[in-house]
Amino acid sequence: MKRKIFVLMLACVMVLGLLAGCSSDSGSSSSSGGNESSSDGGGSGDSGEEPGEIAKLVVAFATFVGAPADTLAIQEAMNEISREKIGVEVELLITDYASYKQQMTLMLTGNEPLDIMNTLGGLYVTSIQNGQLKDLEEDGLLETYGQGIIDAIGQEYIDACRVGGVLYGLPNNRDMAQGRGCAAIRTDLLEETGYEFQNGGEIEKISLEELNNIYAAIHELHPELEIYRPVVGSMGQFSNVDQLGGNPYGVLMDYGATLDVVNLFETDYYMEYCQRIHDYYNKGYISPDAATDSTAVTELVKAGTLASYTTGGKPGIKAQETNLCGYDMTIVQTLGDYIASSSVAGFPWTVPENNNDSVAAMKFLNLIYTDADMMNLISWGIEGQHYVINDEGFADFPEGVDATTSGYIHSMGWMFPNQFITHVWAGNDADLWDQIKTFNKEANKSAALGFAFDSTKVSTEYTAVVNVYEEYQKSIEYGLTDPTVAIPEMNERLKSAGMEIIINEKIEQLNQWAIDMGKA
Amino acid sequence: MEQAISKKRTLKKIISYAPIYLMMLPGLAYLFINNYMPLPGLVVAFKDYNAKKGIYGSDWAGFKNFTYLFKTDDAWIITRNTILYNLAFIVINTALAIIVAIILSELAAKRLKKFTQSAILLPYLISSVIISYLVFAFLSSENGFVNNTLLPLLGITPKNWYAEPKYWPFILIFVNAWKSVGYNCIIYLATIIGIDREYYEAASIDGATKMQQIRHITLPLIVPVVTMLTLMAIGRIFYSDFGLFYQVPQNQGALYSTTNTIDTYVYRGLLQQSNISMSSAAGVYQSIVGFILVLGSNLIVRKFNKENALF
Repeated sequence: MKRKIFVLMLACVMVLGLLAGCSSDSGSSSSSGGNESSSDGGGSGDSGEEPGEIAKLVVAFATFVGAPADTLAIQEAMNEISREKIGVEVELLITDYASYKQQMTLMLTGNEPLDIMNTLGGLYVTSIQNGQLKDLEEDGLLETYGQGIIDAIGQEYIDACRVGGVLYGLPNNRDMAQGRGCAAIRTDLLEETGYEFQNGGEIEKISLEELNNIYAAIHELHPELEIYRPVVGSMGQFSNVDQLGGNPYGVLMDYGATLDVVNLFETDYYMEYCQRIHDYYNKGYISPDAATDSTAVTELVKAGTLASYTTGGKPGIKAQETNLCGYDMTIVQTLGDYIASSSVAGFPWTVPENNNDSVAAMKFLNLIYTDADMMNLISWGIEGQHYVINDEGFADFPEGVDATTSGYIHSMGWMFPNQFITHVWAGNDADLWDQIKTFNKEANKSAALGFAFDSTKVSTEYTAVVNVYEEYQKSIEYGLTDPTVAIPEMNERLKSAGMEIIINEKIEQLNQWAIDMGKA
Repeated sequence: MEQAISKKRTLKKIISYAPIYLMMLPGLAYLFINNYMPLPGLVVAFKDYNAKKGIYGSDWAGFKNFTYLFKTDDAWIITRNTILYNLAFIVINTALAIIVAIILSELAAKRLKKFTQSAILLPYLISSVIISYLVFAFLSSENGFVNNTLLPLLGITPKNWYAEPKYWPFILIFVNAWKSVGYNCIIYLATIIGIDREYYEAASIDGATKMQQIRHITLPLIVPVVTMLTLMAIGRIFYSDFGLFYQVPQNQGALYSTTNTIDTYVYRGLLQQSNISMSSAAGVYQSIVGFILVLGSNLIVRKFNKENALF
């Protein structure tokens, strides 16, 4: 008898547990570190033709830390403003960068509710090739509802996002240029070597030879430390090369001064770069685990095992890297500032075909490009809770809160539509945004600014070439093998994989683009 | 008249078995919806997929999407790698699983038997990412067990394991065996336990040793199961365990020549291109070849012994 009751109760409990699991979640974005998209809750809105009807939009973007804990609160605060001003409500779908591309690809192909999507991670060109993004100028959409956007960014940068003449995405206001050949070095180690600091701006401009000397000096004083850790993008950042279309198969040299496409791997620059890194490896500056270890360089510096790494220069970089590393970092630069062809359209904000209400989407984009309250909410959080304005007018952490305890911190301010109308974080110069504007204006501009490469015609060769390049990339560019032997070997295999075909296709597309833009 | 009676009998049979058919229904429905309904979507491999037009509205592309699997030198390497690894896995894993199953069946101590069974099953349940880091803990250049403790003990110079492709076939076969032997031996163990004890008693009365008993009783009686599982494994000979070949070598380019398989090649090549047609083409290629091989091997097995064949 007792056993029967027990069994019956167990069965009931299990059934109830099953039913409990079936209830929908509150329909908000995923919790911290999670990367599941919410299936319930905010879907794409109705056509918004009835006044008083609130359109619901799903806004997706990535951070390097997943969705912060207080995302829902931020979403509510933003909705209070957007509901009142334009009759639109949004759901913030924040995903971890590592799985962002896959997540978005799935949502796009699965036709799930997705109304505004940021294309960080190489999504822009592939989504266009698959026909998954809306034309933002269709029926005069941008003109009618997006005037604020045009005023905020400027027509030149907007045009740089066109593919085949059609505008599929909007760039954001940020540092378009990048200081090339930059490295971040721990300040305390630098001081030990007796380095004399220039009393200029925040970035020390030095020559490559001086950098080698600094590394040699640090290595002598601290043989137990890892001096330099290369990452996959290091070669690109430490060069004056314009990687056309965002890939290194066919590039423009010398800050993109001319429209002459060459094979990067056969240039003197590539050989010299790899020889320098190979030299570092032989001298013991680079750890043999550099290729297999995927820990972020900033984490390694924080742990105290790494002395320096490559970074991209810009106003505010010193404060940014110091924040991430926990040590005071000095930024040195050996090459010039440069706006590459693909940097403007690096990660535009787009409206996928999944969206049912382009007017509401464009209205929201216009709002977030122009409204300082919205931008401050999404960049820094809620005033008083995640940041306060200190006496000097900067934004800073409130009492008792710091980078590890704040409920809304992501360091992705540069990704959002219009950083220039937000508060400046403490530690930077008060005129940071003006500095960036000047930085952009004065940098070298690639002749191919705005060019996008369509790889569908050469998919077969591209697939093979990617496999070959990835096979050799780390061992050559991290200095593990002798470049005089390995680079010719890689070039042989790249040739048989179809490298020339890709480069010729690029040349053709670039020439066509030049004619279309009237630059031929 | 006779037909009417036999029809009535069949109907009666069906009705009496009705509850069993009903139980089968959800499973069949799921199988149909999940496995058979999407089959027409295979055409995407033969089309130039455009998300706006959808699968059925996109333009035909013939066999264009398949060329990248055959055109380059790499294509030969990945096919060779996939097939050779799978052949090695089939042979080695089956042999090891049978040996372990026989040993386990001879274990008298019940507790030890149950504990061992659970313990060797554990590796199969561990995710490949964790396995890749377990291997990294052994093979890392700076902190790995092998380089820092084992090799110096044996007097061999430490190597950079993640930069030498020639060791990896052995490493991967070993890791795969470690992972699968527990899971695979369960079926063999179940079969061995099902063998009538009388055979063994009769044999030992006749003076047969343990080894002779195993060779002449156990092995022949598990041949049907071995054949069935091997045939099924042959059907998947063009597939590979993605986690094993991508994660465990830590996605190191230097090791591609011996660790790149069809699945990892397609993943790497198409990750940046988002080309659905081409990736589907790879899947179709793998399935069709597997299908032909299963039919072929089944035919061959039939010639030898009709009962052992799958169908």
